[in-house]
Amino acid sequence: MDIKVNTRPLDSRAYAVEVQGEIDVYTSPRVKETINELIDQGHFNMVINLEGVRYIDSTGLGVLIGALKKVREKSGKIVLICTNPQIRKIFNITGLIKIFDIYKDEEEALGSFVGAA
Amino acid sequence: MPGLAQYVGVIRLAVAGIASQTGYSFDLAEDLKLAVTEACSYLIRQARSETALQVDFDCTPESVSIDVISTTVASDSPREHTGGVAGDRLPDFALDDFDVGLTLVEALMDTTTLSSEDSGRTCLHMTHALNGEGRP
Repeated sequence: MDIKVNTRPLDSRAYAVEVQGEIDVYTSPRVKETINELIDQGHFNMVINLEGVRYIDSTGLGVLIGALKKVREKSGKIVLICTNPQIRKIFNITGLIKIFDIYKDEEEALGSFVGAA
Repeated sequence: MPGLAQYVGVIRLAVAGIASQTGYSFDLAEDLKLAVTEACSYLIRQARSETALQVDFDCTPESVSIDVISTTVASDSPREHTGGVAGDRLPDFALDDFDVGLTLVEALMDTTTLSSEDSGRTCLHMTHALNGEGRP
């Protein structure tokens, strides 16, 4: 059960966090670690791309919620890219669909950062 | 299986295999994978000492019934939360404010019953009606 987490600057507005694999109780610490590194470096606006994620459980959701709390304290923002219906279903069941802005691609997600720098 | 975080993925693979062999739909297979994973994670999180996990399936034409059971195997060795991908336990971050695992199980399955015994055995029993979906 491997997981890959890559980061790259999108532009001056936000950083991209691309996750590939399964986010569960075993692999979610790596996602958390990567996001926390970005926050520690002062990057508070992120687009987390879940297009390569085949599975996410409540532990993974907890990581995303924790990260969202942290960046909001710094007036930052985290948005998600996700079109996988199985994963969107989990966001629906848990009510997180109302907490996270979820977009279908990077361009659309970046558009939500209008005015951020 | 040992009650350790790295084995939860293996259990999930086994669930996928069973769901495939019994002809369940893709959606049902995904729901079962998530429900069993959440049940395992919950029981590992609750365990205060070394545990073993056992997952029993009872597939009938009408329903699938799953027992996820944790059993204490060494009560004198308190569990350590070493965490991390390289660690063998649960991650050290707390989900006290966002522990939705059981909520997910209840949403995905038709019935959910949690029972525990003084012996250290805890069982999460779940059932899901098939409505003609399976062909066991």
